[in-house]
Amino acid sequence: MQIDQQVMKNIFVFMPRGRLDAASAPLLRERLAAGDGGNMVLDFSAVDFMDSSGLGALVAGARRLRAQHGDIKLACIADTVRRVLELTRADRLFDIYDDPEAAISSFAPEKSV
Amino acid sequence: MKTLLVIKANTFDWLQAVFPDRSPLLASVCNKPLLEYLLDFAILCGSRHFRLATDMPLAKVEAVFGGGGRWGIELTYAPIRKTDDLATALQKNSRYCAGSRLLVMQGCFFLHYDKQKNYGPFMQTTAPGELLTCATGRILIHDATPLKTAPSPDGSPPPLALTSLRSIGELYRLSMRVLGRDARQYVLPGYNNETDVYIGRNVMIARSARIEPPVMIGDHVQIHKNAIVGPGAVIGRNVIIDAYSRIHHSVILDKTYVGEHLVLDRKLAGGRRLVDPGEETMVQLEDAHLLSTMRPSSRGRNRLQRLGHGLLAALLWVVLAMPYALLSFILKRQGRWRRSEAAYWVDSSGRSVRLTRVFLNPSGFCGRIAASLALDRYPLLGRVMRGDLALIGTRRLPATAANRAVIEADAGYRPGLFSYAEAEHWPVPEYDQDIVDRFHLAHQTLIYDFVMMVKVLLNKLHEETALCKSISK
Repeated sequence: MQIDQQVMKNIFVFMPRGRLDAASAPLLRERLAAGDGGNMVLDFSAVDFMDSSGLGALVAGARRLRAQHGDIKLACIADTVRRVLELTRADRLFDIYDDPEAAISSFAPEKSV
Repeated sequence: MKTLLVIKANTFDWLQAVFPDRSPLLASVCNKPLLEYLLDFAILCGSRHFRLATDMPLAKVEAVFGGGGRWGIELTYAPIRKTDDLATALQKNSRYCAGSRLLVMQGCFFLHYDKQKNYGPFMQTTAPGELLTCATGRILIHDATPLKTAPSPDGSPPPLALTSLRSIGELYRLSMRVLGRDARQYVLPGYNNETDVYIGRNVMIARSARIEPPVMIGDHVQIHKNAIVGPGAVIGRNVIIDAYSRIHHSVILDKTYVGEHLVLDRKLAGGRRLVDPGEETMVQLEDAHLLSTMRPSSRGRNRLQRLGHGLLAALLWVVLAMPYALLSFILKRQGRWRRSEAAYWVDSSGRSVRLTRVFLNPSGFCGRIAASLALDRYPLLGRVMRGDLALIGTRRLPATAANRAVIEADAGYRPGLFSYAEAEHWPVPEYDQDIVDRFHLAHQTLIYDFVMMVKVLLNKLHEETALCKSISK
């Protein structure tokens, strides 16, 4: 898995590509840990599969960031990923947008990195 | 034109209070889900895209509506959170909402329209803003672009009204109104060869049974001898009306068995629950021969799984018997082994059993070996063999009233000796454990469970080995 990264309006935007599974989850976990209390948007438009390991990385990353007063918002999730989030009720933990720009704009200015 | 329906779970609290096991989004009026009426109306308005944004589970809705192909519309789904207001829901769906006139429906209501009318021109020429409102919802037109066409010259808008839905009584009265008065305004399910009689597929009606219009009968219904159905009866799908029963001015929800000689007049029944819509009171019948829930048979699969888990538990019981006897004796003497009992829910129907809990202090040589062999769970192996627990499943919930509500709403509750979260090594808060438990429960098979079980045991062994190493360092 490859994770593209950019900073837009002082928000980290990560764009993982491919499958988010046991093999790729550690990489996502590592990237999210590097956020260091900032705000992040995960653009999932290129992720077509997520299993429990990917979910674990996502939930753990969100917990850590929120403990440090940051947050993660998701954007452009595919139906397969949405079903996993819904099935496990992890969708209650995340704000999910259909547009990364809207996700970025949703962060209040004082919460940016 | 596009349509966005924003609907939240709290608008269905009144329905969940009475029927917690039924999906609110599939609540129906005359055997047609409320959602389908809105979909039909969106199509009459010229919408080609319909999005449902909700904080409720969508799996059952998706199973019924899919991608909207049956209606010739593109239906998509978007999760929102229960704290989101309309502005946030619009922002979360900003890509969908952009570039087209948007019909926004918000809340829980019934929309009165007429299938004979064309709402397209009216919707295209109406100025953006609130169109209709009621106590529990509203319809508005959201459009960033100015009107391209002039308002229609005749100035008479097609019929359109909202009815609030705040109670089971209102839902009942609406069903009776649609069945008795407004049926021609909507596309209703079933064959309609005779006036005011709608009959679904695979319906068996005994020769001596009587059907009195207006009546609506869903798919896969059996009406046995000398039963009288109607006038004013809405019978859902997969319902059995047994012999000599009479159903007048009543609604029978899906998957309900109505026993012999039962007379239902001005009632709403679903499963074992019987509601008086006038008084808004509900009783739950304990006698399954009077009124009960019809469940699809999954007995074969469940039995096989239970057998598989039981056999594995028996194997562990034999293998660990000697270490358990020896180490529990030693640890008890050392004061590192304490037992207590507490009641736990063991299935979604609300059955509870008392389970033994062992508190094991893993310090010392014997304690570490006992912990690595998970001997604190040994007393529960008997419960697995008896079928009360799975070998691996969801987190066990203590038998409290708060947890009862959780398991009733969650048909997937299957407590295990070990939880899937332990296999995945999720030493995290309870809600996060439930996330991983739900994931695995949805994917589980007997072999899958066996693999996860091996993972749990290896994890236990690894934890203790790591602990030993860290202590020796």
